[in-house]
Amino acid sequence: MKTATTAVFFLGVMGVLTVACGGGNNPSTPTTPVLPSSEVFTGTLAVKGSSFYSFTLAASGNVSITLASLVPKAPGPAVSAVMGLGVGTPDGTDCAITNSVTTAPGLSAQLVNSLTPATYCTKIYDLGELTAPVDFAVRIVHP
Amino acid sequence: MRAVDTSRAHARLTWPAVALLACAAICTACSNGNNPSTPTTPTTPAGTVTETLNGIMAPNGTAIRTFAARQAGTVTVQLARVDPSITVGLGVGIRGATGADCKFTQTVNTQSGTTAQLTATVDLGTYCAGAYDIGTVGQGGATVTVTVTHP
Repeated sequence: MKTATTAVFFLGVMGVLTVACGGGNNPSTPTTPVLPSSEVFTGTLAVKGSSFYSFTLAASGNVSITLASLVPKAPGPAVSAVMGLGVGTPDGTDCAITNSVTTAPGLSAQLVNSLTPATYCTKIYDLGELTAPVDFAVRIVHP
Repeated sequence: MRAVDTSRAHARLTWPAVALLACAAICTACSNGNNPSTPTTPTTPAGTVTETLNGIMAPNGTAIRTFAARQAGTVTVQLARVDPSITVGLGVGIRGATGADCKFTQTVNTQSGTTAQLTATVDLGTYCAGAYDIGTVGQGGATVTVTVTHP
């Protein structure tokens, strides 16, 4: 009788250990990284011209803006002229810039701002490098 | 002389011993999966992914592939093969608002080669890369193979 009781006790301990052990090694399903939402602002920029695009944030967070492309004629070749790129708030028929950079096109954000929910705008403007109009593409990634 | 109940004595010795051995085995196995260790920052890249585009490019046409970078890193684009052997445009960029075209960030006119002709630094996100005709593709078109490696 004592032997049976001892056996049951040890089996119980083993069961608890096995369950506890299993909790640390649960297989999990691989997850696909979630890509942030993005908007692409495209248009044609005239020599010494500018263009802006408004967007609305529903939540606070980082807003990344990338001047991704300058192309005189699609699909290429691409040009690497330096442009002004800014973010701000819509002001009538313009965009009142609060933060800006001068940058050539790239695929890594050149302008990152932490913003609260509101309506904002991004603006691209020629600093004097263009000698002919170019098609541009600006990507805005936000919460 | 007293008779010994060998079966009971054996049982008394065996059960605890077996149970302790089993317990030790389980504990050892368990501890292997839960070793306390110094927390490390998961900075090791999951590795680069290689994608290959095989396409036929018409005169004035393009052969473009969209790919997703799972994290920030470096993208390389290689025009691995062109048939017939001609010079074409090779580019990397982002899809436009409609997703119909690739807005190139970098381009180069090149023939096929064994190493990447374009390299770019990217953020997490979706991109595109491929070849486009610069006026060299004949009426029969051109077969291209473009290899993209990305994080």
